[in-house]
Amino acid sequence: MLEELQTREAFLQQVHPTLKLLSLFTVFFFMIFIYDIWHPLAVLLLTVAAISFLGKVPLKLLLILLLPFALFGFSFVWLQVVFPEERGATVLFYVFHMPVALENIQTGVSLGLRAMVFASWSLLFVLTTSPVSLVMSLIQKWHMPPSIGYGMMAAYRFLPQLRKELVVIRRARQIRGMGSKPRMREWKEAGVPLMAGAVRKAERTALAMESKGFDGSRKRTRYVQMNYKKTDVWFTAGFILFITVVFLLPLS
Amino acid sequence: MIHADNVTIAYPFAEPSVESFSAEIRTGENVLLLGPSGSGKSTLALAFQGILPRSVEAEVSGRLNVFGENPAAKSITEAASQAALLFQDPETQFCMPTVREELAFTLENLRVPADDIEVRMIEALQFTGMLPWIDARIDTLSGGMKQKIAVSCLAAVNPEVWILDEPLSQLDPVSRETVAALLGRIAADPDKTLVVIEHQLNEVMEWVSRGIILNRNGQVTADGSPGRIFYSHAALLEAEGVWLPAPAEAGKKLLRKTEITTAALPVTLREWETFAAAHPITEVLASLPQPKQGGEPSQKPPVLEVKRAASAYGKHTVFENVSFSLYPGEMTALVGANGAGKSTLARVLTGWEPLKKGTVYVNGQDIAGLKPYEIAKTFGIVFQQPEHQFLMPTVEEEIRYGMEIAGWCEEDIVQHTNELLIQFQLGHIRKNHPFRLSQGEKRRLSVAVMVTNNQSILILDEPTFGLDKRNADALFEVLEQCRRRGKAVLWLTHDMDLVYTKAARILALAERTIAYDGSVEAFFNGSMDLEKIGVRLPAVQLMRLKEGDGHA
Amino acid sequence: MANKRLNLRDIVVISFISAVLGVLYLLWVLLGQMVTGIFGPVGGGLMAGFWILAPVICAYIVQKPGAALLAELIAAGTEVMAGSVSAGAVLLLGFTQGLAAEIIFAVFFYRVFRLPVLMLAGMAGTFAAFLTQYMLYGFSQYAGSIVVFMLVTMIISGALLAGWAGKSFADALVKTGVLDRFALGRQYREGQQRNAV
Ligand SMILES: Nc1ncnc2c1ncn2[C@@H]1O[C@H](COP(=O)(O)OP(=O)(O)OP(=O)(O)O)[C@@H](O)[C@H]1O
Ligand SMILES: Nc1ncnc2c1ncn2[C@@H]1O[C@H](COP(=O)(O)OP(=O)(O)OP(=O)(O)O)[C@@H](O)[C@H]1O
Ligand SMILES: [Mg+2]
Ligand SMILES: [Mg+2]
Repeated sequence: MLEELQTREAFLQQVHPTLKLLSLFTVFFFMIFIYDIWHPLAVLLLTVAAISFLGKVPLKLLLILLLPFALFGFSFVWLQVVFPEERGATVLFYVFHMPVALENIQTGVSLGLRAMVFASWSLLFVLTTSPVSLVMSLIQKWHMPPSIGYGMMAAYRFLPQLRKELVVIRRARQIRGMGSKPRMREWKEAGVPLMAGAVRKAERTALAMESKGFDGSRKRTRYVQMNYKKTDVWFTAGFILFITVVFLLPLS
Repeated sequence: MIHADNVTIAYPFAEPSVESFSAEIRTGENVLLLGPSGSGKSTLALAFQGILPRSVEAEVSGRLNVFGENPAAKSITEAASQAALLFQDPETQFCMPTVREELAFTLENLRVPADDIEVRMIEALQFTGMLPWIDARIDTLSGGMKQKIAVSCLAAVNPEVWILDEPLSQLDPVSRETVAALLGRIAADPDKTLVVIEHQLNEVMEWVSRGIILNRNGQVTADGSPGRIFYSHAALLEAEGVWLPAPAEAGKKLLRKTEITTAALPVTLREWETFAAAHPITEVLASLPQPKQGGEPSQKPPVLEVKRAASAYGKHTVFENVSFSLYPGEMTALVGANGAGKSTLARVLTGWEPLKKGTVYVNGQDIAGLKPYEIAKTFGIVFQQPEHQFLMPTVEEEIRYGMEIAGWCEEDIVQHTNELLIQFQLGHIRKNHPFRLSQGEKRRLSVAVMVTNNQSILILDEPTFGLDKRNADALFEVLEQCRRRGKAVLWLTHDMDLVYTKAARILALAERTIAYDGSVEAFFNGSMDLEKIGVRLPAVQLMRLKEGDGHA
Repeated sequence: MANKRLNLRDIVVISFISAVLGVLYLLWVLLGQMVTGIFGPVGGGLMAGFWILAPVICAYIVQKPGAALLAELIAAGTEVMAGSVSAGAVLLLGFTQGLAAEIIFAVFFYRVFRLPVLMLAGMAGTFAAFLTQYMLYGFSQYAGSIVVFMLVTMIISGALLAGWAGKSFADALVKTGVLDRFALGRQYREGQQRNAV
């Protein structure tokens, strides 16, 4: 399903992965100076709208994915109320003799929303970028060493197998246990064969890569060129506009 | 082309794996590298491409030249474009998610200009007939298809030397034939040199022109035309536990009875025909292994009953309407094409994969109502990956484990453990970690731990894969013992010759259901459409038929 | 050791180990978020060490410069590729945590990989995680006491969950023989041979 989203014919999916990554960190950077409620709220709503319109991601799915972050975000609120750096003056009400101040709730909500902004931008990146194109662009544009890039691809390819393997290992062990009740320790014990299998597969894969002529150097031809296109210009322009309006223009 | 002079290869902390290997392989030759498990065949394959010692630490002495130069001294790219290697394990051949990306990766490495990549990719896939799958994810392909993709990768490189490490293992008989024929097309090219490593020889014998036999210590013990060396070194090969092609095996038996001397054993069906013509037909037929007779129907109630079972992954139905029973003391083989659902069925039987429809009864109890650990009381299962089952840090403790859980007294445990260690030839490595054993030793250990307890059904998923003849024989001896003690044994396999001689009953899975359930003889003699099931007649049966025709 | 540079095999093996751990990290994040949501960042702090397992285990196995940083970056990368919903934070944390562990190994010239050093690397990793989160999630807005308390729990977790547990896991792994061709495996084999003599 994730794969299907990542390869949809939509604007965000066409944007160069490195630009999306860069924009992600830019937003993170600007967010850490913000302590009010309205900025993060605006960014959050804009981001969710962008993902669902420009990335053709169903709104329902987005909200489901963001739900756990709402809980995570809420922890900032009560923490801010109970353990504030400085207790605010506008006391709204008391909980068990503890004053609850408007300023503290505001800061808490702001921090909670900030966590949700981080999550939403991360979603924008993850839901619209396929792993292969990400690694390819990092190799071609950000000088990631090919041995790391292709090594990661090989490991990524191995992940679906991993789950099957874990199931097999657990099952095999239950059978060896011959009818005795499974114990908690089993999970830990299953880790060793799982990792041993991974290491062995990794070694063989490394040999297979070398056997196919892969020497890790940058001297290789490119079947797919990850070049910047017109969409990237539009995206960059839009993003700069967004940053300027939301963070740089002093909102009164 | 390949020139080896006194090559000795030793891994760190170990005796040499290959000792004083000397051979001269000329352009256009098709060489079979044969030897028991652990004799250093894969090690040599790595050395021919220079990966060893470049990236696998090992001490290499002597002189090894490929194209007049030490492969380890060449650049990786140069070595790879001259000699390409197909690896033993189909799962770890690939490093990219899709077929297209994998081929692109290979060609980019060799610095093929971007504009030519597409063309070479398509040509290579056309060669194997895999072009329709160009955008498929590799991990969704069946074993046979993966192997064809691996061959496509080699075809895309188009090297002069092809090194193939067990290219046919894990394929169903029909795919074996297809892939072997593809490789035969390369072999026919006088500019291409093939070095092939295989345990099951029937298919490759069609195009192999020379055999080099390694013994257990990795020394060359014979080198020459396969038929001749199989004849002249028959005793040694038997002692080393090497598989021979079926015609050679039968020819050997035949010669023992008659006093005729020849220069060579037959290795292909064609050669068998002429060879056998020189002998009386009764003798010839007697020299061929007989199918095992199905025993008389068991009077006991079935240990396992499957009723109208169906299974599916999501929307994809693997099988439906599957019904059969297993009785105590039965030896049954489950056959079918790659992806037919054999492993899935085995998992369903053990309550691991839920049933879509139908029921499975174990000793009269519905499996759906049992907890996993309760089911485990009835089933012994040997998985394709033996390592998954090992729990203890030494071989000895591994064998003791089951008996300890079952609450045996120490005296019995010690005695029975020692018996098993001897029976499975594991005594010399009783203190080793199970993960450190060779493939054959692991397989034996995994069976040894399964037969220690009193589970009434034993299920084995491709138990002979990668085993040499001696290990396979030892394994079946043990299985036969279990069967006699009243266990129901069910094994999944692609090896029809083994089915022919070892199984008493066949279950065939095809077209999403049980296509056959009955005796071995009727399966291969009858009017079964074997093509549909994805299997072929065993070589011995073909030899028998040829014999019948020849004398008719 | 003659060759201290990471070769292709080291990189691929680090990738596989870190990818497996990356998947576990993701599961741990879910658990962590639940714990944090209920007990606040202090409860979450005690879980923080788990995210430093990749650099500790990989550096201990390979014992070469760059292994720790690479391992943590790949674990983070895997989380993102497997669809982590907090890609940005994960990548930043991956970088700072890996770098901190790497610095500890560098201080010992990549020669010492004993338990105290591994625990120190784990502690450095969680400390880096603390600093990063301090910036990202505005910890400056909380009372000093709770922030300090969080720091302490995270550092303890780094020593135990990353340093100690990571070492004991790698030590179990080395017995299987799959690490024989890495520094840790060689040391184990040499130790065994010495015992046998
Ligand atoms: N990387 C390694 N390090 C140490 N020992 C090894 C290594 N690879 C193989 N060996 C050992 O070297 C010997 C030869 O192994 P090799 O894999 O070449 O055998 P093989 O002839 O290909 O066997 P099989 O038919 O089972 O594939 C075996 O004893 C094996 O245990
Ligand atoms: N976990 C899975 N998820 C989805 N499909 C699967 C899964 N496992 C197997 N399949 C599919 O189910 C079918 C049956 O697979 P199975 O592994 O049972 O075949 P098999 O007969 O054991 O083949 P082989 O001889 O190659 O081992 C195949 O088409 C396979 O692609
Ligand atoms: Mg081999
Ligand atoms: Mg199978």
